Amino acid sequence: MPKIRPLTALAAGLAFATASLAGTAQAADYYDGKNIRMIIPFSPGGGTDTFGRLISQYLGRHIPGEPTIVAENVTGAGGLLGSNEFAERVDQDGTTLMTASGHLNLRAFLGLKGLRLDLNELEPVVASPMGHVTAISTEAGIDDSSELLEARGRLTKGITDPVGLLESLVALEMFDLEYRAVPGYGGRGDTRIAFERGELMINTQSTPAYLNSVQPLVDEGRAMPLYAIGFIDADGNPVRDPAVPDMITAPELYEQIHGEMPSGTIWEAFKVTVPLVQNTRGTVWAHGDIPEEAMAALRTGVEGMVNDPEFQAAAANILEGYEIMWGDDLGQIKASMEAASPEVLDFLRDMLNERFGTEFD
Amino acid sequence: MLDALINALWILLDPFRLMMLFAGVAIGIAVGILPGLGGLMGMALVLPFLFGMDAYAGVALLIGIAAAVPSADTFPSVLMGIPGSSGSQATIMDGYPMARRGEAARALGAAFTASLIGGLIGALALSAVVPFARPLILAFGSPELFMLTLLGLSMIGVLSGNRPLKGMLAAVAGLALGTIGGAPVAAEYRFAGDFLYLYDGLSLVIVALGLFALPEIIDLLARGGAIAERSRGLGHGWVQGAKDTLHHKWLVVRHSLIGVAIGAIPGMGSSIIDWVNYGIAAQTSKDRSQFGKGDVRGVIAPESANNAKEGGVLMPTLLFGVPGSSAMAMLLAALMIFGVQPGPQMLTRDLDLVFVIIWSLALANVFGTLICLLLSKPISRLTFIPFQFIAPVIIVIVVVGAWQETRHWADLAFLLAFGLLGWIMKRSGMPRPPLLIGFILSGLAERYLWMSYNLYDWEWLTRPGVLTIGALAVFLVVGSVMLKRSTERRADALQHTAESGEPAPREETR
Repeated sequence: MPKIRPLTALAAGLAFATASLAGTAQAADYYDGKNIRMIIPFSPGGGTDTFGRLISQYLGRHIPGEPTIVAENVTGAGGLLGSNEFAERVDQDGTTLMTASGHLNLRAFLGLKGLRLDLNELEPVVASPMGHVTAISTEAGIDDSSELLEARGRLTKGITDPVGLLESLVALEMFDLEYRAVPGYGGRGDTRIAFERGELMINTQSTPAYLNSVQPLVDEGRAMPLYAIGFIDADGNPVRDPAVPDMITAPELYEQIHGEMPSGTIWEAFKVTVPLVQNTRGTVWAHGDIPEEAMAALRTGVEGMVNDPEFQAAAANILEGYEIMWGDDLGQIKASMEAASPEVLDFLRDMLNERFGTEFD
Repeated sequence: MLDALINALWILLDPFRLMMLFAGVAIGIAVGILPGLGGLMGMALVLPFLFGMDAYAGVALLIGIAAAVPSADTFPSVLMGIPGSSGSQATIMDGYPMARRGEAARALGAAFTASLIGGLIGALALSAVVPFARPLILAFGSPELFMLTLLGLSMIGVLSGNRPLKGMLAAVAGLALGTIGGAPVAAEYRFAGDFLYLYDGLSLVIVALGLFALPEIIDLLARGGAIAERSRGLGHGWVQGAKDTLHHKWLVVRHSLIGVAIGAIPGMGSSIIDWVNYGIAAQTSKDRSQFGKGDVRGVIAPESANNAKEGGVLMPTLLFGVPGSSAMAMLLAALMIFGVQPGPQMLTRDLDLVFVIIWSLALANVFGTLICLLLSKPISRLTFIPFQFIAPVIIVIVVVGAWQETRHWADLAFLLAFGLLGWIMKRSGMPRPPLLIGFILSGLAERYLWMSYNLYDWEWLTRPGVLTIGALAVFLVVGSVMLKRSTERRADALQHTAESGEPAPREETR
């Protein structure tokens, strides 16, 4: 595509100008003549895969030296095989990156049995956030989300993978709601069908999926939104989901019902889980110990990429209304991990283990 | 509606989009012919090119691949007894014996004609039913899906020929093998130990290639000579095959519709469709003495269904954004790249795109099967070449097909292990298809049984859908036993009159 070259050069040039001067001189040649392999530990076609491929497509041309990025799906064992390969079996020199999903990050963070990925040894390069909304069937007999605790009937909630749904489970636990977890669903789309069928009473979807496929049920009077999971700011306060700014968030709803903000271990767990899952629906990781000039080149590349109008156009559909996370914003991911006390981690592990038998190392 | 339909055809007839459709068909034929590679692989190959492509062209490319694979995967199934992709396993049952009789071209002609008609019925059903498909898809909850797995298991009898006990044993072994790996409804890994490779369970592609490909290769090499035992000329075989299909037109229509219906139900997976159709065709035939020995109906039924199913799997994909098959997950990713949200509002907001998909499906089926028909005569000649000359190529293709599953050394180890198991089963006269069916349905049956219980306790047993499917399964099993008895009596009577006739050919393929 020769006609975009000048633009690319311009963007790269701008990026050069703004990037820190220290690393750039060497960064300029670090990736010369090298290829970057992007491990995507999931099957082709999912949201994380699509994000990983989007980045693979556009990042390389903005990294000094213009390395070609080759996306490769290393599938198996729910992402474990690809993650372990990235953690242990590749050269840690910046020529291999990995795209993880929020729930893969969470699994690594909680230390799922068999997963040998240690997020503390990795550095996020770029990420994309994603909010979630929980809805309830009108069969439960409530007219307003503030009556949540009076909901009747078998409050079934479909489970695809308990770790992946952790943020929605922690929210339900926070309300101390008596729900019946039904594991075995293939994906959130399947739970959405089961919700419409009346098999499931409570359903959590990503906010775009909610707007697209649950909102019609709400309009028909068959379902009602309960709350958005929302985001958590640096001070630990709830923030509205930018895609549904009018919808109450789970902590706000708690405050409305109980007259005070949630507190205790469950609240701490919520504050740790939510940013980890929702800020990192797709995260591109590099090894933390790669050469400084490689990291600088990657950062330069990301900056050039996010300012590239062509990337912005291609990304608009895939990010589904959220802003890409890069640069200093990525610090939030590590910060929320560091904020987690051992009690909170044990609480989350115990909850998953008791309810679903999930094992951790 | 009609305006939109015609308008969509004009959209698709743009030269670049048509070129993309052709490119898709060509890729689909290539990955279909290569054993172990299927639509998912083909679509993954082209996904990077979709960024920035016109949405209609991109969709035509992907649908071209999806539609051509179930036609082209018939080649290895018929010619070598090796499943070309997971959708054409059952075609081996009768297609391969036909090839060995020297009737490869006839089997392929019948298969491609059936594929063509099936594919068109699938596209037609998709366009006719899509506005009304929601209730159908919603009608199948976990309990109904569990009953469908039982219906699938009830096919085991008919797939075991006259060795029902051995068939049951193989099916039970398949069910047991299917439990290896992550449990469907609990965070628990069975028989995996610390071997992460087994966390996902064994791969269907590897099990199928091992069971069917390796034993065939070994035996053909040991025997020497060509695949076709009788080297009578190919003649106008494929014309004969096409005539066979047209002669059995109701069979084609029936199985196309069954293929669409099963394809439309998300959660069953498309790899069982050809077996279910083969089973139903055999169970409802008056004379099924030739099934498994080269009955052309055993080729027509699964081939009609596996092309028609693409129309079915598109229904949940487009209406709910839930992939009806693994390849459809790629279509969803593509729609996302193009900024199209699948869902019921597609029928209003993106109606022209829906019709472009339907037209692509129809045209790709026509182009795909026509190309396959043209190729069938030259490719069938392979069956007359001494096998030792083509065996090295086949072995490489099979090994690569297995290796690309996860690219872990265990892929190859399990390919060998299942090859050995398949060879032992073949030698000892134990039917292999029941093992494969048990393996495919094992996880599904367990999953939906537990989900039904978790959702409804035992109340699910009284749901009307559950009772209906249960009655259908009983009817098929009992009915087929009765049919079989009556044909056996007739056959016995015949045998008394012609005692000295040629003994029935041994069933080598089971």
